[in-house]
Amino acid sequence: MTLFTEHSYSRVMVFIDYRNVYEAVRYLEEDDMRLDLYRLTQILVGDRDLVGAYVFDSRWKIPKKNDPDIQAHNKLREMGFRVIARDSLKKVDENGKYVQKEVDVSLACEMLEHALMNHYDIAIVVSGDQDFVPAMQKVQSAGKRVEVAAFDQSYNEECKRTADIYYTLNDIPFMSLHSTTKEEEAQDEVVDAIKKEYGDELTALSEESDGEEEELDSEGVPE
Amino acid sequence: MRGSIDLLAWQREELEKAGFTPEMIADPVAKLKVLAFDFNEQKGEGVISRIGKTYVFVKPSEQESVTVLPGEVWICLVESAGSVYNAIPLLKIDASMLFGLSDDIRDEIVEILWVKKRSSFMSQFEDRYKVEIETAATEAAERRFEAERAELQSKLDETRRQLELSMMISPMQAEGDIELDSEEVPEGAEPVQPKPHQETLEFTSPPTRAVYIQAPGIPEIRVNPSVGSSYSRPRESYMAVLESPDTIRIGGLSDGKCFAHISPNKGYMVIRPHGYGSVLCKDGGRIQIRGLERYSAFSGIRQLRAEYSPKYDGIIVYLAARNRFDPRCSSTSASR
Repeated sequence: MTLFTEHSYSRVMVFIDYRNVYEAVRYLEEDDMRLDLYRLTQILVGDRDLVGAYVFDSRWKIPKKNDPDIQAHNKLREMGFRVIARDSLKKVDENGKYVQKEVDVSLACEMLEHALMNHYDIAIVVSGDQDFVPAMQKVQSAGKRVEVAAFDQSYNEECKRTADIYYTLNDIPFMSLHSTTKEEEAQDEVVDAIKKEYGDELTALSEESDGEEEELDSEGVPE
Repeated sequence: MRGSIDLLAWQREELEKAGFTPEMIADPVAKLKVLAFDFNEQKGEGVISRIGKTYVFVKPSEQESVTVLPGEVWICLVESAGSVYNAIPLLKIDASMLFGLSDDIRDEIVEILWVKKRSSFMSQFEDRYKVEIETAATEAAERRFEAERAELQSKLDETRRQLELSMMISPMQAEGDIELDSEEVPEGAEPVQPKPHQETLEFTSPPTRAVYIQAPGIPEIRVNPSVGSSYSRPRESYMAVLESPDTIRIGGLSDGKCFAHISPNKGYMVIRPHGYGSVLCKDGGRIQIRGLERYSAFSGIRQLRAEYSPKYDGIIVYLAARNRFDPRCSSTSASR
């Protein structure tokens, strides 16, 4: 039940608080699920006109070698997301706990700026953080609709009340799954034929390449 | 009739009535004329008339006793005065005089006036008629315009009424649809068949069709659904069978690559055939998925409910009854 009517011509802009979503589903990696922001955006936008999809995150000021965050950001950029990563990731203690700064304000500024410049009709905020409530209200004051998507456990009640429409991510199928066996992961049937012909030698070679792909996937990078 | 009227005899009678003796009028009466006087433009004052090509002036001795104005018509006694005539005005012909005349005489006078002053009368009549005709034509056009305007206004009002009516009816019809879904079935209508899978997943707001993000200069991944797509026209329902801890078979699904997505609450899984998919469908719809036993416990071969979901543009498989969508507690989409 919603007050609003969906129009395919509505211009939608998506603002994703990456860390907020990723941390919420990180534990699901143990169940071989991967966060797929691409699919999530597709579902949230629907048949409306997507004019921009932003992902806001932070990164280490001095990046590590093979920094998984940077790899994840690059993958998102390849998909078409506009990734805005602040150099504001800071370690709090020796246990690996860290905090990020500037990200929420960055998202709020971007959302408000685009609203005031009439770049979209509907803003979809993928985060249930209460910090976004004032920005959402300002965007609504600019005549825009604000939709919010977040997990039940991270949903702030004030955020729900402020949103024109809110989605609960728990129910939306956007976590990607993968095949069981290495043979199924191999997407080229020719490889199977070669394997049959050359036996174990090429099987070992194939396993090596599969191992590399798994490494990438284990970093929680969306599909 | 007019040809039988003797205007001279009539003039003679009139003169006798005025006191003239037959002798007095015997000679001059032959020169009794009906003259129409105009303004003497050459002199700049006085009046002038014409008999043939000869000018006629009011006799100076008579000008003090009788005032003749331009445009007036008089019965005059005409005397020759060299190259012109002098006229002694006797009787002015005007409306009061004409009313006293018989119809025949009046027609005769009008005929004479018309013959003598046709050109000036014509110009006067033309001007007068032109104004009258123009006035009449304008009034007729205005009447016609008003009638057309009134007709168009009535049509506009009718259209507005119909529009308002339709705007009122639409919500009523919508309400009617809701009533039809309820138990209040109108008489004569066929009973509403319960929709299959009423308890199924119904997202109000997540959109029906998937769109693809396309950014300039960025490879368009997943944008070619024809690659490896195994179903052209999705069916309403599918049969899904959990065959092993990590294998699910979906009847009717063609072999090829698919995308498999699951909701974080592990309640349902969506299979979308796609050329860039991350899972492989083979052997008649069998899909092996890593970790499937953790989403749907395997205790032997069992059937799972599956159906096509236009909202997710794929086949939705309900993995566990406990995780099925419950509208009482789920808030996938809601307005505040």
